[in-house]
Amino acid sequence: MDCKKAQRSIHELGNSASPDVQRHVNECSDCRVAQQRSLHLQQLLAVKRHESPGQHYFDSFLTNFHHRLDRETTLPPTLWQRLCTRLHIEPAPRLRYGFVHALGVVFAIALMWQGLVATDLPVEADRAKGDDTFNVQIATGSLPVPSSTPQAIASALPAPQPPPVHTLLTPSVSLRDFNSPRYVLDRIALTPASYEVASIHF
Amino acid sequence: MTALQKIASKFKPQPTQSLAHARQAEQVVDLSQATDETLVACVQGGDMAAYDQLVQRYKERVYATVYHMTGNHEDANDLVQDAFIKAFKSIGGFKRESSFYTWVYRIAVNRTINHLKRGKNRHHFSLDDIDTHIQNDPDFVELMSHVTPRREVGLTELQQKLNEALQKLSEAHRAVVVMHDVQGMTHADIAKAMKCSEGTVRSRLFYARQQMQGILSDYL
Repeated sequence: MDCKKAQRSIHELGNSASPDVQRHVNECSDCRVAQQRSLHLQQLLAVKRHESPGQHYFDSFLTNFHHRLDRETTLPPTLWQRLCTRLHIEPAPRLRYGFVHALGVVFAIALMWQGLVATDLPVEADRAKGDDTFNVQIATGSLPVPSSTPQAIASALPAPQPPPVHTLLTPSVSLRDFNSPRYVLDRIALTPASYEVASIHF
Repeated sequence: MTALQKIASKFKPQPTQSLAHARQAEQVVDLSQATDETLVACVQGGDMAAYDQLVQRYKERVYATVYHMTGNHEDANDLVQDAFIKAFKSIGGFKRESSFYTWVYRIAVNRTINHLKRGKNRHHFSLDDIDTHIQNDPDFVELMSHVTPRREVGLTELQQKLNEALQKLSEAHRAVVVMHDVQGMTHADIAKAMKCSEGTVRSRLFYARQQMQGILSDYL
């Protein structure tokens, strides 16, 4: 028997190792030392058996266990229950409905009040306040347009790019119309954008 | 009615029902002598007192294993309570193919291994005291009879060193060493608790001891 096998057997089986192993250990000093070290290690580890939290811990274990079990099996309190606890109110269902109704009434009043305030504001009030946005919108439509403006805008525009394949874009309105340039898609590529069947014909 | 209230009402003395109380007391006596199988059947039938009896029976052994694996009293306390709660919640599905002890042990060991894997970098010991019975332990007497200058260390230091050595093992190896060398469980029981073969248990034990011998060479 080789030493490796014998030492493994000593570790795994201890004193109940086979007679062959015992014979080998008696003859081999290395394996004898290994056996002694294994025995000492087990004796050292046996010291740990005596580590204990004390009897008082085990006496109160069951009580603590029940507290924890109770805590885990009980559902957490609802928002309403927490609110009642905080405000020291008896969490009766009648009170709960009353609270919900009161909240609804307050919400409805708030909505009505907001609606009234919004409709009461006259347009003149904005003008009186000097609302710049309003005034500018009125003024833009009536101002005379300088003659040089279309050319200036045309020169400021980027150079026209060649249209992509299968599409031809042409300006629909003259720049003289003084609007922002608009483009119309003249032709659409034959390849559909989607392969979904639009309709089924039999 | 909560579980605690049920238990409280069960043991609450009622003067008008002295006969019922006597029967309950008789039942408590019976529970302490009942086998695990009977107790499990009672728990499955809704008897909380039977589960208390099971907890009382195995709390110390389960605690010891978890404590030696974690090296921390607070974690061990949480994990043992977790294991018993988990066992209580799933006892309805317990098919009694193995003993209750093996089953609850498996729950505790698995939870401990998961816990240790989660907090891999957290190492702090909160060790329990060594009780006075150690002076009568033949292993300890034998160990101390071979005192050499290297081994003249205090028990607390030895305890610390042993814990450090154990924490250097992987979770699975540590579990095997604790169950076999500290708790004195057989290979077969460990195999059942860890859901592996006895060969695996032996192999893990061999490698774990090799590693520990290297770490604790000054004390061997």
